[in-house]
Amino acid sequence: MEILIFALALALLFLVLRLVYRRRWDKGLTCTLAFQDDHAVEGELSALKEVVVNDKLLPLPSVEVDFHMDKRLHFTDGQNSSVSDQTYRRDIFALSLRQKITRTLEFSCRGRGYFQISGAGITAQDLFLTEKYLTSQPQHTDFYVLPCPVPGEKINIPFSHVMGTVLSRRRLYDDPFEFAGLREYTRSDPMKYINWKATARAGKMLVDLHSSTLSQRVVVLLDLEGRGVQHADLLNEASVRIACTLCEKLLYEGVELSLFSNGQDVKDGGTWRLPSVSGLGSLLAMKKKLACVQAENDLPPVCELIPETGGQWEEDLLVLVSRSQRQELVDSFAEKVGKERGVMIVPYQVEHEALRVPQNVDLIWLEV
Amino acid sequence: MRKLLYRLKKERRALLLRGCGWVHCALLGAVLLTGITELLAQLELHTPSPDMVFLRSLLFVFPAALSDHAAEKLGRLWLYLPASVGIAALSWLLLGNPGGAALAAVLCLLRMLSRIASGEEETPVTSVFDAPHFAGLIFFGVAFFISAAGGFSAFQRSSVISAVLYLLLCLLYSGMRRVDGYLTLNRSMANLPARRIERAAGGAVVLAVVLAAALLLPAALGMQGDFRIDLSGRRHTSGSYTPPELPETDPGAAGNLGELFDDLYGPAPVMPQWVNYLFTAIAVVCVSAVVLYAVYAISRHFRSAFRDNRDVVQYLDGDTDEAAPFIKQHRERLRRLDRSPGALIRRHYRKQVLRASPEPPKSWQSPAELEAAAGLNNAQLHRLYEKARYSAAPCTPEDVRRIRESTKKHEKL
Repeated sequence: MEILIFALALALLFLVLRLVYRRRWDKGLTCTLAFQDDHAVEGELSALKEVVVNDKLLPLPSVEVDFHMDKRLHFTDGQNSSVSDQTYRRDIFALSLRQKITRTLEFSCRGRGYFQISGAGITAQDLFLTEKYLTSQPQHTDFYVLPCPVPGEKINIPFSHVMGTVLSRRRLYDDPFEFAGLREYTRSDPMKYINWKATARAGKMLVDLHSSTLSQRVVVLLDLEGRGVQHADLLNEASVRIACTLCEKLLYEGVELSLFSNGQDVKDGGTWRLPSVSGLGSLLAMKKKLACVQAENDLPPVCELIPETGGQWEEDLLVLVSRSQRQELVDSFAEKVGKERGVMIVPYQVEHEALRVPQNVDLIWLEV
Repeated sequence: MRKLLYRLKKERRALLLRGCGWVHCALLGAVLLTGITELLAQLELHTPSPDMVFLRSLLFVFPAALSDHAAEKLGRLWLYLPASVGIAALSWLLLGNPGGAALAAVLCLLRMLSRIASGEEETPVTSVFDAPHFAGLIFFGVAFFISAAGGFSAFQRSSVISAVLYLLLCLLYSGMRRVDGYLTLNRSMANLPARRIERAAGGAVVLAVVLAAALLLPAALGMQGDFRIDLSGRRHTSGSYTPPELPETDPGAAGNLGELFDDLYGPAPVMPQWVNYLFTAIAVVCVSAVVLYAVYAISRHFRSAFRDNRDVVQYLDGDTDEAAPFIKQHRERLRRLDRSPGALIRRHYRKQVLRASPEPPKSWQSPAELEAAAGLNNAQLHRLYEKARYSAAPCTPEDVRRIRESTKKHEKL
């Protein structure tokens, strides 16, 4: 008789324990996923931190955390994850009473982009592993993979073209209050530029040289038409890299930039644009913005994106980066450039079409 | 030796499960042999003491282990048959009676048949002799019934003790098999905290078995085996309470008040033995819990954080700044007996949201998000709830009336 009573008491104790777990298992249980860094460059390594906290007096012998993120972020250990349309990861933790476990997962950045983890699923089991409990917790962590810079020997050609055009325009608009030096007088110099004091000291006619304070803007147009085909994806990525490296070098030279693209901004889903950026302080912000641009199919022509500001942009230098080798694009770009000069950079992989280049466009082919 | 220790360490869970299977065979065999022995004793044949037979029969665990090992290692029949004969002989020697040999022979035969049935399958077929099962308790129940009906005291004692041991064995086996199954299922995962899972879940299983043993074993060992069932229809238990014989008393001879009460109402009731066991078990559990908590607290004191594989494991401490962000902010909850206007408004709001919401509300949702998810569009409800929940200004009974009226109005619409 006693044995039966005790056996029933044991069964009751087991049921009570199960009930306690059923009601309290998620109390004080939190899972936080956070990228260790804010950003990284393509090809670099970074890490994701999984922090699981059990802030209660019930141990959880098995807590499974699962989440998914873009497959361009690849876990270097290659374990506990499966890659299909996304990278799916599942990790198991064992949490004692009031315990916090931090696990660091290293991953490599295989592609440019803006990545978010918005949720994590949690599966826990009771002390005897007899019951499973499920929940999910929202996550708020994001990560930028910035475009990889293009090697100097490749980017120097378009950069020289662009800077040459910028500098030659500066010469047209020099500032009389910005003294740059002295040189000997020639017959074409206006008399107002003769420096009389220097002439008296030197005993020969000297004129002032002036530099320009005109801040000429470069408008970079990024064409990202086409997605899903390996060749197009590769060249579009190359376009982004070229635009990023070029803009970086121009910012170093103190040139003000405007960037427009017909691609989509993955962060807000709208059209991607960066109307004004200048100074080295804006470099990281510009790169992050470029990380968010995404190629799509059936996009509007990139030349239509130039804002109509009453001809104001005609004083700017237009630079188009596009993988497209169509004559129509070159012609429409030449039309937009008008009387000024524009630079068109076309990345290509193996060979390129022979295009008829208008006089006001400098066409630069870049093999990637 | 080192290789053996390594194998013991590596395959400890699998070996424990196999060991449970061997003990399961031994317990079944022990009860069977004890019953036969006592039956023979009743037939006045010369037999050893049934209690001794029961104890010696527990040694059947070794022939069972050898039989299991032989079935696994000896792939050919011509090797297995002489091994079976050897195991049967050993069983006779260990158990001291031919019944042991018969049992071992049957066990070997059934294992062989099971092996033949499994054929070339990669996963071996588990026979009833390989693992204990809760259904096996029926066997002990039947044994108990026969002993009670036939008046076999030793057989009854052995069946009860074996049943308790078998129950403990089943608890241990099922718990450890679950742990082993989980770890085996996830063995390919990297950073699997197998040792910690095993310690936590396996420790809980062992603790449960110890607790069950502390509760059940004293009661089982204390049994006299004198429970009887009269198959003619009457049932009585000789070991149960028998009415005390009242002494013939002389009221005048009562020396004191206690004796007088005894004389009038009989002797004071004696606390049943099972209550003593229960209190003992509770005391054991409480002391164990205190000891475990002390060990836990001391270990935390010495080691607040450690590294396990790629995990950094930290014990939370309310005083440390690092732990602070992870400590969940407890929401201000309503007291059950709070009938203030603010509490009534909050309860009313909760009821409305739960009624309208298709899914359970999330703890992180704001009132506006909750209402949007539930499809509620009652500005008065929203305003008064926010006043009750967040405002420093106290709510009034008028607010309660207004929120109720507002809800009724919206329900009509």
